Amino acid sequence: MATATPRARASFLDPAVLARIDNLQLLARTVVDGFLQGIHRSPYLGVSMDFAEHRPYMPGDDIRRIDWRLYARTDRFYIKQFEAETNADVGFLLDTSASMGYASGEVTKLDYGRFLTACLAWFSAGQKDRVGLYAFDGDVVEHVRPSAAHLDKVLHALARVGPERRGAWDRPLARVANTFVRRGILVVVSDFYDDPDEISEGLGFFRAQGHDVVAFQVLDPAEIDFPFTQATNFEDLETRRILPVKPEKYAAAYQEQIRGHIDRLGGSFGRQGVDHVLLNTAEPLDEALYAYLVLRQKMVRSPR
Amino acid sequence: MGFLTPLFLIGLAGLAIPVLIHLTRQEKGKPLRFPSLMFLRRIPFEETSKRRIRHWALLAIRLAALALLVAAFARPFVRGGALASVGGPGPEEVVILLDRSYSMELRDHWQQAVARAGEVAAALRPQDRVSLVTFSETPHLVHRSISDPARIAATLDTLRTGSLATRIGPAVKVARSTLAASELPRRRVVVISDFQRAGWRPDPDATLPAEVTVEAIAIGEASAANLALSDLGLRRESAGARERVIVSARLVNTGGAATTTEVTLAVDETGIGTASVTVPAGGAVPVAFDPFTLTHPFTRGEVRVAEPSGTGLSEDNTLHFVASPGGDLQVLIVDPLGQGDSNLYLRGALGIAEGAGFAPRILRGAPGVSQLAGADVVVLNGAPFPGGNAGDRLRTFVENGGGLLFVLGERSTAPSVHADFLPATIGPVTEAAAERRLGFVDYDHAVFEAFLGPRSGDFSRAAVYRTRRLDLTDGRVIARFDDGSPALVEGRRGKGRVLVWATGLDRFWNDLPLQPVYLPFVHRMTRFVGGRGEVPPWHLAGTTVNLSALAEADATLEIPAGAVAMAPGGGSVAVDSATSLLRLESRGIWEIRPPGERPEHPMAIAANVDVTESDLARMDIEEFLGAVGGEPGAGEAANDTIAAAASDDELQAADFEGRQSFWRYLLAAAFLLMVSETVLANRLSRRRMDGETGAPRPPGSS
Repeated sequence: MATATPRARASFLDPAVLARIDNLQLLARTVVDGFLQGIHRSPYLGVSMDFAEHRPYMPGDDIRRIDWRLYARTDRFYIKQFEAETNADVGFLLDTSASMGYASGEVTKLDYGRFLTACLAWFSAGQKDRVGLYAFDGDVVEHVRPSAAHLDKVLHALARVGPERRGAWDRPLARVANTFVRRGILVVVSDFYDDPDEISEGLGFFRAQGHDVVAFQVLDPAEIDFPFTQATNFEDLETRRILPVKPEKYAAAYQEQIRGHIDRLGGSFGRQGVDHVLLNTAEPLDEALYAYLVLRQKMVRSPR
Repeated sequence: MGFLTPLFLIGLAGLAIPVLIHLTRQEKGKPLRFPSLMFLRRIPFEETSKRRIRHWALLAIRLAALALLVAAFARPFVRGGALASVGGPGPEEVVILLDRSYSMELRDHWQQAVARAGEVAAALRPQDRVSLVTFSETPHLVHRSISDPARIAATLDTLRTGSLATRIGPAVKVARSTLAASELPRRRVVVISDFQRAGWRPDPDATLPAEVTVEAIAIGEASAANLALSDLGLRRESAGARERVIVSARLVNTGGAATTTEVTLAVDETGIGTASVTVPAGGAVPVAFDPFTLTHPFTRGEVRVAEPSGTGLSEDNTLHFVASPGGDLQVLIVDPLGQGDSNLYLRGALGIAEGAGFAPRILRGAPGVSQLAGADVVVLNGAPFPGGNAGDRLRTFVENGGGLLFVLGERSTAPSVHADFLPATIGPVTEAAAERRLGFVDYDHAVFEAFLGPRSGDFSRAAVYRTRRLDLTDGRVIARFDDGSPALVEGRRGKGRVLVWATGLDRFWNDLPLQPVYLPFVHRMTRFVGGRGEVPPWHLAGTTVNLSALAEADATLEIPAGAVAMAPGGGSVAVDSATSLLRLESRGIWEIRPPGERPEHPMAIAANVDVTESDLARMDIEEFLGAVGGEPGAGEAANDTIAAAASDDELQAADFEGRQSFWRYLLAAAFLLMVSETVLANRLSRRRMDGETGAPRPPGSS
């Protein structure tokens, strides 16, 4: 199992540090490069059946896939590119609903999702995947069609979106289903504050269409631990409803509720074949990147 | 304790606001934004915990501050007790003049008056002093300059209205003398009365110094409907050997609507007649009853009018009287000239009096035995005192209770043997160069007491040209001429009485017969010597009756030694044997009894209220205050309705409030509380913020 030193990961993947970088491209590059340098070997473990082309080696590529013969001839590292792992459409569904604007620290969930999406897009683009973006709340608010040349558009779109409106799943997923037709990877970044069964049912549709779906559930640590102590009024960021809350009485019940929700979400996603990764905005991005790399590896290894 | 503007106390309802805030908005402030409340909403909500008050101290401070603020705006004041002295000027001497005349019995006027007096006393500060003077006909100083309002209150509880009329003037004089004895720097007179117009006559002596504050607290309405009986009269007529009495009265209606009612005559507590009377608004009608026969001395009677209770005064609804049978007074007029000009006026005077009870007879010579036997009075009209047996018979007649009126003329002489019988020696005819007049009249004597009042007769207008000189021997001069010589001399001989009149009763020696006083003067002299002096059937309540004078006027009256007067309402008063004076304090029948005895028909005196008090019309209070002088106080604003009392009360309250100014202290206390509330609230808020330091912050917050 590849591991990285905590210091190295902290240096480049700490969300608090990343939040100070305005340029998403630089951020993504920094994160991905740092991440890839920190690991000992590429997660790319398998090969495809159909060779397609060579491409230059990039850090992070599995060195076992280096074509040593070609190296011997050209003195350069080339990676064998197989048919299955090339030209994959990677669609990023980023939840920009108002609830994503929450932060108990310096990084909001949307920022965290933005970093994550940018990093994965950068990473995917480096893998020659076609990256696209669906930023949505109650509807799709930003749409970048998947393309190998659309990384910049994706990054710009990511920079534009903000948490404003109430979120919903039906309409955005319907629009994604209409436009994301080629088999590929759907990366969903959201806090998934909705009925788990309904969400997983929606995402299960894409699984049924042959897409790989990975769901990154981004939560703030305060949403998980509910560390409040003073009785106060809580305002729902999406509905604007206000509820007087006495944390000392509510904390345990809330924690039980949120854990139950996460568990139900994981269970539902599991039944639909959707990978579920729970992310804490206080934690570095490496877990997300690992999860994505694993997924990407799985996709490469699994026959289509 | 009271409030000058009590409507502001409605603001106390605002005390609910902090409580509601503490209950419902205790978590008010900037709400903590949270991604989703979907999980929190699923948690069972605890209503009770929501409504629990957490910051009791803060709530208490806010409530107290608000209450103090409201109380300050309501402007509280204290009328009595130690606090009443806060912030006031120097000590004050207060005289309360409380009207307890019988008009105050109307409805709840007396209760109002007592309550107002109590309030005035209760509002005094410990350093103030108060005097209580009750007044009706006369003032009565109940408490002089005390500083104990409780005593005043206790006394007020015992006071009741009387049967007497209102006389404010004497009460003002008492207030003046009471204040004059005080050394306190501030002085005030509070007059609590219904201020009847009849109760005040401007009196130069009934004034107050300019530095005295005068407050008039008017009780009741400016005028009120009332039925009153007045002018009770008894007319006697002879019916054979008996004497019948016709009772009449007048029923007065001061109301604004005609009234039909019944007037009843009762004799010895037995109703003998009832008359249905309709009295027009503001009018009066006479009421007369059928005559009744006097059967025994001191027959008691009363005339009653049925007036619905609560609509008028009850004291003036009954008039009492006492009457005794007498019969005609048999008068023998001895005139040597016979029936002629010399006794024309005398005969006319005695004969003209309808129902007066004179039966005159003219004799030319001395009366015989049989004539004297049937006579009560002998009038020697210019005739000499008979000598010999006739003189002895006349002398015996007088000594046995008969009366002798010796009217002197030119031929009037007295034998020397009977010179000691007359109270004065008859001298020669005196004819002055100028006409003389009566210069001295003893109005205390039964003959002249009816002329005591103003416009009751003027003897000085009678011119006297000739007289007989009288030298007093054993008698009493009750009238003198302006040169000092006796005009009328009285003497007692045995049981009888002798009067010697120094000039004639015709027009030859004077013009007295042409004067209005002639008729009553002759009547009274005749009745006096006949022992049938005028005994009024009733007296005004509040007057002092000289029982001796009554007995002197009416020879049939006898005041027993050590007599006791039984008051109408119960209780007894010992009659002063030295003065024989009895003050009729209350309305009704007073009995004069020998001590320890209950005679069948004891001597009785009737007392009726002064009907001038029945007129409830109010005087101009401003005019009263102006006449009394002093510094008009709060009562100056009193108007003619019961609201006057309220207005006066408000001004008093304003005075108290202005002196005490508790609102300043309350406002300062409220301010201090609000400052402490701010400090405490900030501290609590800071503590809360400190508690939230580790808690999540909403996006965008620094």
